[in-house]
Amino acid sequence: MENFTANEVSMYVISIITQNRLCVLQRVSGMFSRYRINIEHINISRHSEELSYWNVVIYTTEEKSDLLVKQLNKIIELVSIKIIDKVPLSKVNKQVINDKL
Amino acid sequence: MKITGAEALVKSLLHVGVKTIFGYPGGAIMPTYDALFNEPLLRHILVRHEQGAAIAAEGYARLSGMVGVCVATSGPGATNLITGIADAMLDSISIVCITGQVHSALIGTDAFQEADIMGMTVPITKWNYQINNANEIPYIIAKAFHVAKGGRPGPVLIDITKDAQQGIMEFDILQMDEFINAAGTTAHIPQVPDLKFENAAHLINNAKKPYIFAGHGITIAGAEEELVRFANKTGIPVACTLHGLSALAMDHPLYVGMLGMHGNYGPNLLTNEADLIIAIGMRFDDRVTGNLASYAKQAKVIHIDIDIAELNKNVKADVGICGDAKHVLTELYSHVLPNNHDAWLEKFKDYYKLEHDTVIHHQVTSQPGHMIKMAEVITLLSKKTNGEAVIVSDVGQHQMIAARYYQFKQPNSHLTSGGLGTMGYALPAAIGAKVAAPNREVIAIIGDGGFQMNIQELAVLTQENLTLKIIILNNEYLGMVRQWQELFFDRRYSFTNLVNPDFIKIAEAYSIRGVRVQDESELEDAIDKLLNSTTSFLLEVMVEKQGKVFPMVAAGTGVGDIRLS
Repeated sequence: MENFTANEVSMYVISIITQNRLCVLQRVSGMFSRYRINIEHINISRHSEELSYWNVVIYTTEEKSDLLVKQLNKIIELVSIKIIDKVPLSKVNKQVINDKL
Repeated sequence: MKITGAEALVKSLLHVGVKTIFGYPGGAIMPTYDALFNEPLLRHILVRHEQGAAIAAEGYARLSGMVGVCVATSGPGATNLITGIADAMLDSISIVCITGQVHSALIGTDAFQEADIMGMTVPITKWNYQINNANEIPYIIAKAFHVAKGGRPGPVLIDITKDAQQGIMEFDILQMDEFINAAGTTAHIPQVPDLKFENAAHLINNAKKPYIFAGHGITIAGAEEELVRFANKTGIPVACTLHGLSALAMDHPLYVGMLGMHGNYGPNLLTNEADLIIAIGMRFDDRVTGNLASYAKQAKVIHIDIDIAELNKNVKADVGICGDAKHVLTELYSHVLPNNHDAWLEKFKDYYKLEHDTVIHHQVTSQPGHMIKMAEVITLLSKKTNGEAVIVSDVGQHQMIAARYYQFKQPNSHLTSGGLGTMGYALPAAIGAKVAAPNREVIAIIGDGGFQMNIQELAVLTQENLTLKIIILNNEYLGMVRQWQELFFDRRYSFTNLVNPDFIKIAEAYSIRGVRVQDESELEDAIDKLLNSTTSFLLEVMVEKQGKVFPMVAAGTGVGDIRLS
């Protein structure tokens, strides 16, 4: 990973494990909308009786993603959360364009 | 023992230590109310509006140090709680709200008094949970209290369907103990690495102009003594946030005043001169910082808070310590060297003198032929109560005046709605406070606007035989909004004048004695009457209509731009 400035928009891939409960989707996704971060991609699947595994892709800044992860961490049903990848948005788009050409 | 879910709820509440609940019955919570009937160990206080129940639970929680509990029915009962829940969320108050819900078979059918209170309270609760099986009740109640109280406190809502309240379950008291213990052991107690203390101590020992900000976290952690010890050893001046008021006795030589929009002049200005800020249990709210772009840029910052999400949120911390204020201050105490900063403290005193001569003196001195000023009332009250009363203020000018002019000498003595700014807070919060601390003098200070937002709770005073003292500072305006209109909206006083009812007659209708004061000469006698009354008493003081609160850090400006007029 490269050095990013705090205000540069990057694509973040966030991996989350939560308890498999009612209302957890709303609680987690509500935090994204509260910080006005659009969810570009989301995948949630039940992993066991108790747990759900999430993968979420968002475009945001480092500052916002830090705050978001810290706030998400406070959710009682959240077991763990980690940013597993971040790529500057300029690069993401270039990759897509290159693929297309 | 086979009992109903409702009975299990009551037993569970008793088992986690609940002694008092505030509530209002209704259809979907009736099984629970039936279980409460003739329950001698659980005092139920009947409010007159569910918002009053939630806010009274907040007041109770703050003065008792325990979790406040409120109960309401489904639908409108539950939605009426929402303002109180949001208030508790922003001010970090531990309350558990129990709401009835329609029968689980009816959920989603738009049944009578059905509301998706779970969905509605997600963003304003620390945790919420819907119980639709009686067997879940003991465990969920144990967990709810743990979540509400643990770490940074906050509100929890437990929604219980009618059939879960009616269902028969096996209640095992030993198992309940296990649940409570299990919830307790999963507590996340932040461990602070030693290096953090060393780094913080290094900054503190080398600072020339260090400055302590004491917030609500001091009071929540019960760290008042640790704060005094720490300040005494290091000789660092201490300012309090609005919620931090009373964390340090105001006659302490190192106390320099209040921070924030209507805080003291020096404490705000010198924020931009300090070389080290030690922020304890406060969150750099925008009402404290003003414009962040010009806020304390020269200072190193040590930020101590139990909520890691607060560190680096608004102000970057050079040393961020996630921990309990009491524990951190105790540890830090042994790492710092004795010091004094008299020359630095002198600057605060100089600015205080300037503020006193230009603002305070005029506010607290009566002028013949003029109406009484709010600050005169609070100053006199402060003297008469020796700074030892619990002051519960509403929201607006009188709130800022109460915060600025009452000289708090006892810890945990200032209750107000700081984060959400909920008008109508003072009366129910004061009721909760008085129930929690019947031996303390609790005085609600309310504006004529806010008083009418939860005026119905006067009935609780009579029904519960509470001795609450109420002072209405009546300027026949929504004063704070009027002040802004005068300063920033070209004196266009849009819908801020109030034509009020006769508050004394209203008090009388609730069997509460009341006195109205118009003239300075009657004020002292009236305050004596209020304080000497052995029953609830309402004192209405007609105050200056066009009074303004200064100093002021106008919205959008920095603390360095604080104005005295």
